[in-house]
Amino acid sequence: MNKKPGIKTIALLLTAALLLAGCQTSTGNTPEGESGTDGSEKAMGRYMEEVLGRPEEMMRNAGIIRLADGSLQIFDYGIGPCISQDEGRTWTKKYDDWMGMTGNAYYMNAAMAKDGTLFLMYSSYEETGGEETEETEESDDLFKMDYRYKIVSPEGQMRELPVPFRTDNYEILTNCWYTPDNRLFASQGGTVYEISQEDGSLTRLFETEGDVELACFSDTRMAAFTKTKAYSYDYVDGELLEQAEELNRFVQGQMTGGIDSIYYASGNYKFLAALDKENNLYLGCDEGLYSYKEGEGIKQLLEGGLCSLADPSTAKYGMLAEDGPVFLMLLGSGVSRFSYDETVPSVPDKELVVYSLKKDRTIQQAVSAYQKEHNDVYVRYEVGMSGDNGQTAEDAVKALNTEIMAGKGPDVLCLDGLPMDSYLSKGILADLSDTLKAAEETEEFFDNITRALEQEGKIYAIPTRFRIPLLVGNQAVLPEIRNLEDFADACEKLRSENPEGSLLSAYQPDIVLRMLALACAPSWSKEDGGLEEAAVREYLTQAKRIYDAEISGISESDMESFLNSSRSRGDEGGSYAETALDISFSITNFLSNPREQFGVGNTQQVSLDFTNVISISRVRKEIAYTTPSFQNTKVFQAESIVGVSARAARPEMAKDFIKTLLSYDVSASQEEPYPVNKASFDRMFYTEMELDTSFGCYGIAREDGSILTLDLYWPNAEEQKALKELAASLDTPYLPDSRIEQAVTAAGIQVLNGELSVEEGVEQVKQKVQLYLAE
Amino acid sequence: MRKLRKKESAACLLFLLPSILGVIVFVLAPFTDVCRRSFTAAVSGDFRGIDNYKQVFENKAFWLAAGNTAKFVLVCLPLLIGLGLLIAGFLSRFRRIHFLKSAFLFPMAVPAASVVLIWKLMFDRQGFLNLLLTRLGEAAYHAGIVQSAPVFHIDYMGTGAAFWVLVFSYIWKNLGYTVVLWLTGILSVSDRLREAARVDGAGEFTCFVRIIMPNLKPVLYTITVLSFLNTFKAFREAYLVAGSYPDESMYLLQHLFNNWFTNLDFDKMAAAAVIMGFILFAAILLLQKLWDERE
Repeated sequence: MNKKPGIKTIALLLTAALLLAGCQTSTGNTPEGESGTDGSEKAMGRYMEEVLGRPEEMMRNAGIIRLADGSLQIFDYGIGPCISQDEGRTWTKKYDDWMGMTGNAYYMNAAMAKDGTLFLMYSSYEETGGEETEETEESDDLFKMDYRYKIVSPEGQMRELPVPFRTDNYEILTNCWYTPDNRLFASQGGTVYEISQEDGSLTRLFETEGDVELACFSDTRMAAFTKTKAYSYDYVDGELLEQAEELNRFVQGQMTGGIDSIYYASGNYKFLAALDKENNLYLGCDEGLYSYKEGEGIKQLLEGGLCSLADPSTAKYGMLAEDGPVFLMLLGSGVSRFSYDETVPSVPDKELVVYSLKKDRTIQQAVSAYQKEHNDVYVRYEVGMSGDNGQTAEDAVKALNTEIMAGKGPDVLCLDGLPMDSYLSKGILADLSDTLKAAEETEEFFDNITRALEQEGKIYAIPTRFRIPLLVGNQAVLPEIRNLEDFADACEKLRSENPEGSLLSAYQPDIVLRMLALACAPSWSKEDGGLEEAAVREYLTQAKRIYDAEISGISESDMESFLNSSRSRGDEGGSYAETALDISFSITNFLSNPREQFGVGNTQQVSLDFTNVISISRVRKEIAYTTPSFQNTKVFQAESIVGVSARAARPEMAKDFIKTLLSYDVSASQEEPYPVNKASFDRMFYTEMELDTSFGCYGIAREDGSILTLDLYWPNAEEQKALKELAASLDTPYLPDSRIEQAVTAAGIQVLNGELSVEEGVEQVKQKVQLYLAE
Repeated sequence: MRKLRKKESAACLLFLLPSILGVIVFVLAPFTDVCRRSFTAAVSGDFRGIDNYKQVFENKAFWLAAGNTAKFVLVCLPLLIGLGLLIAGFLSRFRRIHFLKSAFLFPMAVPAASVVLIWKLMFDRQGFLNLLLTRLGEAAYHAGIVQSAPVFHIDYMGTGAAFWVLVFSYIWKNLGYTVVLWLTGILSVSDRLREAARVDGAGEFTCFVRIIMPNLKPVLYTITVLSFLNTFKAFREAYLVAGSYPDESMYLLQHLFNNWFTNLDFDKMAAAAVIMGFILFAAILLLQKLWDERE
């Protein structure tokens, strides 16, 4: 019996020990992975990137090669071959007037030989006058490509090569390469051919599953890649070698997230490959630099985040593996040299963790830029919903919360999709007022946007990008639309005048609701987070009127063709509602339907959508645009909203990262959505084109075979100023997909479909929101 | 003799140690931490006394969720136990029912994701249930029973019917298992006892009530506890079908806890978890006491 207290004591002590071990309250995130803190030796040595240079005018190109004389050559489709005698630091054009030499030709593919010979695939075109065309009869000539091939000798002499690919049978060369011993290979239709440079005749080398899009060569071997498989071919013995499954998996791993080709028409690749003299294969992709050696498998040599490779704006054109191994990569930023440096730690001393729920290009660019500037910092970018872990947003948020509470959370948070209000009220976010102020000393921002989420003089969250909701319509009508009811009146009036056809290009209830929400949603919540019941009632009432007016004129065939087009889009382009929210979608309808109508949607960039908005008004003079005044006015959609964790392990570094994020370089490297950095916003208007002549056009094929085209114009000084003034005047942030908006949209769909009355809809919203608020 | 007892005790302790350690590490220690957190602020960790408990008791969502959960338990438990007993009693008359046992367990083996799909197909506004009712309405109209054919477009998951859908799902999933448990109990009652009762003139009903039922008390306790605990698992399906904010009628405590977790309300969640823990513990103790008294 006297043993019992002993056992109890041991059990209690055990429990207490566990509790003490498990209940340590951390006051901040602990810097992880920092070597040397435990007194152990730091692991040293890693590949370092050195950005060398690039031809000044380099754009679309066919990669890089080391010529037999030791110089480097880049072939740019616009300026021709460029040579560097100093390992890529400076470049000179081989021919002063390449375009003049080659005539009117559009080059699609090129291969470079070590002796300087070029093989080119091109299509010639005739110069046409710049006449404005609104409607063109489709003819065979309009989109006809005339594929031809030519060889340019090292001395610049050109000769046509009659390669017998039959264009009428869709036999179009996918890619072409010169081997180090100047043999010419090309892939087409799942076969790799050797092209005779004498007469263009073809010799089949080996068959592949799909077309080879990327290939690299050693003195004896060719490594070739299709979208699904990797091949190894001994081109000296003409033998297809057995390839490891591991490389196939690597290729398949690259073809995820909607990526369906390795080689893009713009000349860049999803990943790069190079063989060294010993036939070891090296691969460069977003994730980093890898080696593949027989028997050793794939090994990572350098993580993408530690160099330019992870930068989404950096195109990858070509790669060379040289003695060392040292790697030369031709990237969009220029030639980068990767060499092993034994003097730097293998993992940077400090770590900064950046988190976003979904992959965010702005953050990716900032990570890459910050990494380049700070060699001693490892910026770890974590994406909650990476797409390969099957997590829902809520799962990801819960996992993040657990990390935050455990003191291991990220330092920088991209707040899009995260429970920002909770984080603010719980004190998770640090005040960034000083950071923004410091950034404002060197650069100018749209402070109406950067400071839009200011609370009692403190800034915990900064939007770094934004979209601008626009209402497009007849300029005589637009000033009369001062609120949502006015807009419903205008829609009903339009419908009475035009019994047929779409008024808004919104064929579904959710599209109408989301369009209107752009300039209504901010008014549904009170300052304390409560529901503005009257605003929701008004919204549902007017949305119902607008939808009824819209749907009453849409014929079954129009609806069917809309549904067919949304179905055919599949998952690739996002939901149809998202597409419809892009203002250029509405502009397409202004073009195809000459009657009076409205367009509601966001503009998020100059070149692809704002140009449409201003170009339609040049064809149809009565069309104008404004910021919609529905339940709110002067609304902007805030995006890439960033904050710094109050528990950040390295708060200063995190705040420094925010400055990088706001900087001109990061903001200007991505066109959409609009950046808050004013200089980079202005940069979006930069063009060398003449402002008053059309720079291109887009067309819509009609069912009868005719094509409607819209000539596109770059915004002139007045239009640029107007957009900039508009951006500077916006003062109401719209944060999409809030709990309240979700509830209103869910009930709204039923109201618009007639399944619920407006009052029932409001009740449903109230119930859901009250539950949320009561929590 | 004493030495032998000591040895036996040590052996018992050795055998029990792994599970005791498991309970300490995975139940007691985390629960103690939850208790501690229930008195502190979520992020700063500052001591807040009973403020978190006050907040929970003043929280309307908590009362709604607690009320719904209690209602769900009070409706489901008697229904499941009673139906299970009835079916088991009926099936026990047949001698070769063993092969049916695995069939009864089938609903438990169906993955939650599949059940959710069935729910959606059944109870959607345009689901099979509405289709069935509409067809029946048409048939009734053609038969002249009703004057017009009604078209059903009920949103079962978006109205008060959602609660009963949840009850139905719970019963469907757990009934087979409960029947198997009851059957095991019924079949374990000695045939000789029943024979003797019949010889004494007892009918089927008397035999069931007087002979079988008293022998089922231990099974009743097991079934009640298991069914009670299983009621909390109904959340999985409810969450997958209707998300974090379902219709009010099926908003359970787990919804609330889930949403508190998402919104970093760890302090309120800890306080509510402690309250819930004690209520559950008390309920189980009560059941055990009742059982012991009847024993």
